[in-house]
Amino acid sequence: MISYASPKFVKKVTKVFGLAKVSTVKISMRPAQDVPAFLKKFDEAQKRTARSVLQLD
Amino acid sequence: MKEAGLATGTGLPRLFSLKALFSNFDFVDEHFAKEIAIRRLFSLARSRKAQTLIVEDIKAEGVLLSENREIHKKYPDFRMTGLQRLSFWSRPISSPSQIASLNSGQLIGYFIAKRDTVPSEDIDGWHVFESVFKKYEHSHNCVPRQIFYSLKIAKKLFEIKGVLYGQQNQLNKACAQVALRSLFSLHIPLRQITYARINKIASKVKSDPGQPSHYDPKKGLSVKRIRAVLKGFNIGFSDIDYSEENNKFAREIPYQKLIYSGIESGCGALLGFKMETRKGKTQHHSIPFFGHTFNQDTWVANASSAYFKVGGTTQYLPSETWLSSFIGHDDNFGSDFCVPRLYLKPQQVKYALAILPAGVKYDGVRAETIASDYLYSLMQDKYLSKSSSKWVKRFYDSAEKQEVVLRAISLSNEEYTNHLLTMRDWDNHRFPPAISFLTEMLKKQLWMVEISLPEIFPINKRKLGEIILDATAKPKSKKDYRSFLFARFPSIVFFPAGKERGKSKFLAYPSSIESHTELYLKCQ
Repeated sequence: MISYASPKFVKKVTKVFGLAKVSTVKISMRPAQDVPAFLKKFDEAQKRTARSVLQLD
Repeated sequence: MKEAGLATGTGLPRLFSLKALFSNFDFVDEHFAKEIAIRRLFSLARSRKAQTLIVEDIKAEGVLLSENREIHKKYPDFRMTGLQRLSFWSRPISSPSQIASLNSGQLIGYFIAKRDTVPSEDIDGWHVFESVFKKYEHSHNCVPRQIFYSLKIAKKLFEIKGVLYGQQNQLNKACAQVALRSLFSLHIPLRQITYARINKIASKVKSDPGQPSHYDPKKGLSVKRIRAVLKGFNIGFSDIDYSEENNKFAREIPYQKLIYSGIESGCGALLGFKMETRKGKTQHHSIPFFGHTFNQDTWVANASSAYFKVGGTTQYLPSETWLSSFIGHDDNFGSDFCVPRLYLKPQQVKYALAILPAGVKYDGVRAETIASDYLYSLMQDKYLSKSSSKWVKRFYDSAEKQEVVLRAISLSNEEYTNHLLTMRDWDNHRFPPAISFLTEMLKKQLWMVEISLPEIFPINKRKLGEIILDATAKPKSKKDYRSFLFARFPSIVFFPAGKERGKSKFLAYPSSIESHTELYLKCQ
């Protein structure tokens, strides 16, 4: 598998699209933390589920 | 082990014309003791315009024999007092010699009826060991994955596409076991899925405090046992026990999202809930879901409650907003029912489970929310924001109000590459064939989160792009999820390029696809 950061990749993708790269852009992920908080809540619920004593018919 | 559908017939098949004056009610009353689920199967046959019914007595072989042995071990006075295979055909025939001229295209459905008798338990009744019926051919009914099941009628081999149904017998299987067998049949050859195997795995799980110390299959399965059985069959899953959670949690992560994730991926889902049945019982019931109905004209998308609020600053319109009902089986009442998506109230729902595709380590609920974070972050890119594309401008108009539609689909690397190769935008632009080099860049299994807008998605079934995530490793719940592989917007694509001083780096390239393209549809 080729690394996205490798020169081989840059060469290949440029060749494939037949166009010059627009740019290497640096983007901060949004500061909002609600997605990580959501995932954490989900993970914790699933840890509780692993200990569940619920019985289904 | 021989599948039930392939069991050897004994004696001559009996044929019945289903034209009036044949009465489904009379037939079920007379032969199957008014069993409700069997009535439902006859109704399905009628609705699909069945002309002929073929009834065969069959031998208990393979998985059927396995079940009998299992019951007999526990109930020495058990006797199987009836075993029949009934098949419904769209062509009228009148003699057994004409069966050889039937073909699978004329087969509407079949079921195997089994009568178990255990005097010591006061049990003597028919149940549907298994059945498969063709899907209702309405364009709004979507079943992403159906399987071809084999069966023999009068020594001739046929096959039928659908999703297997089964019913409990209050001896060696309850609704949880039959629901799992239905779902497993989408992933594992049917001959490998015996109730004996399910129960053997379940019996090895230690009982919870307050539960009987020994495992009794007729009482169903605990969540721990369900999880053990899934692991024993090497099937991945994501589940939540809602009985452990408060009402706020049920609103924040609604059970419908997990169920939809399993259905839309073509893997299926299991829902456990508390209900009072028309048989007058309150029970913790569980049923399998494998399809949904889609209503392109639903008004619901205009209501603010339709938005999925990940938190205070992130929301989007999930694609299930346009879904009216889940399609599933209910072992008490029969197969292929539509259960309205909002019918079961959160307080009734106790358990939800989505089956994951092979090699996939997390569910579509996580994929969608992570994609929303990447999506709203990538909007900061100046090349994207300054794009002259009118479709990018429309995307920004909606995205700034967080009114984009997101839809998570699980697919393989090859399926995604083929999707790109066949993709055409509204002006018939396409990617060059060499776009297939992406197979070298992507992981084996992916989550594709499609990005669309309210007026493009439901009726046109088109999208503006997608975010591709690595599905083979569970993402961290920290900001750097390490799952981003690729993103496509009109006229621009992004690849990841590591991090620098805490900022994510992306390589941006112009894309030859400049407007909207077709959604990726698995529905059959």
